[in-house]
Amino acid sequence: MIAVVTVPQPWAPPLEAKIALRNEPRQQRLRALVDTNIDFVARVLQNLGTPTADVDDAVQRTFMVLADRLDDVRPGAERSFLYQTAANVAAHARRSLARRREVSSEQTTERSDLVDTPDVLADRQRARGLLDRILEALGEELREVFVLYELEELTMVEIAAALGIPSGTVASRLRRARERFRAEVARLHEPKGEEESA
Amino acid sequence: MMEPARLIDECPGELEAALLRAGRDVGASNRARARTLAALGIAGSALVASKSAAASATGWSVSQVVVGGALAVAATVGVVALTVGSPSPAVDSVLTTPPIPIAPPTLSAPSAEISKGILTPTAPSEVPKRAIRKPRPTPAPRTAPSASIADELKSLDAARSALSAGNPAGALTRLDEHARRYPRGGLALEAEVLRIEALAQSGNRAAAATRARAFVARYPTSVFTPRVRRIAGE
Repeated sequence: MIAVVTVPQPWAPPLEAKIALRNEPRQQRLRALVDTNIDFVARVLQNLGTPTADVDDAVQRTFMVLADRLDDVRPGAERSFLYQTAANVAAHARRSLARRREVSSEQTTERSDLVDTPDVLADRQRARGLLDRILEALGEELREVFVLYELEELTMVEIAAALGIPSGTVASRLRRARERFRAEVARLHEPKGEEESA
Repeated sequence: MMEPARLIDECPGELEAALLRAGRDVGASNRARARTLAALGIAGSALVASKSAAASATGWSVSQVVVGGALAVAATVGVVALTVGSPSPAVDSVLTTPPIPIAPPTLSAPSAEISKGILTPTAPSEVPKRAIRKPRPTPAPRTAPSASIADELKSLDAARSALSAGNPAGALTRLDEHARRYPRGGLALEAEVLRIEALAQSGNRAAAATRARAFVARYPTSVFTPRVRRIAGE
């Protein structure tokens, strides 16, 4: 009789688990990027004109594009990539809004992080609505530079790199954007009659 | 290059300051955070190894928040969570946008690391205008979704973990439980995608394809639709 000796095989994880293990550093990188950039992405999306009701979806889309291309994105350049992707997503959202002919200021979505009183919240929403109108009036080129410099506090050199334009162009766009912004704010102070007769 | 002071630092008027703060004092909602983590399958990813990388990219410290314990495979495991028959209005509203070919940025374009410290939300509105920055306050990153959505995310992550471990039957059981506990949950769309993938992995390709086709018909513009189309064999 021949004895059959079964040699114990080392436990092998299922294929999916192997993939997961292999991807762990990638997943960790992705998770870190989400945690550290998600507020930035949401802010950029909103300030570039994404309708409020679509911001959550746009945030998700932006990071899914990053996930798809993560291996091609140089470490240290992730935020620039996210900005450019978010700008594309926001542009699409604005076009969609125009097609739907809806009014973004009437759309609200949960911002559960906020714990303000109703008055404060109402003031904030009014300010948000006014800012959206003013940023819209700037036009796309001026708006991008204004948002990145005045709201995100990038330097001009960083903005030039992120947008792929010369620093001098950034400076001139910023100058015009600030002038336009102030003019629009001044218009808000005008009595309605003057505005209509102008 | 000499840079002008930011408008917020130039003693703006009350209205101008309020408008600028409105553009700064915003961030991602808890729901956006949960949906993003669920879609990428990284709700359970620990951050130990990536803390330094994140810090180098942003200058922020990264809180270590582990919602679930699972490793996830973003590329192969979708997510989605919504009973197709009873989507929440909020989820529906998210899916009404037309299909979008979102072009990723050109990677060869100059891409400077966008600087640190610029992403901090501004101070509360009652803070005097010139006190808003310098130094700009640095709140702890908001990495944890609120309790209810975090629970939902954890529940969904358990299903994803089972699927990632090669246990689609277990994933489906957990998804059934998830559907019972969160019939109108905020991650319903992500749950449905995960269910479709679990069905496909379990060998029940007919059921997976049926649900996939229903999903595509109902949400033709969802960000998940391309992935679901592949399962449907379209």
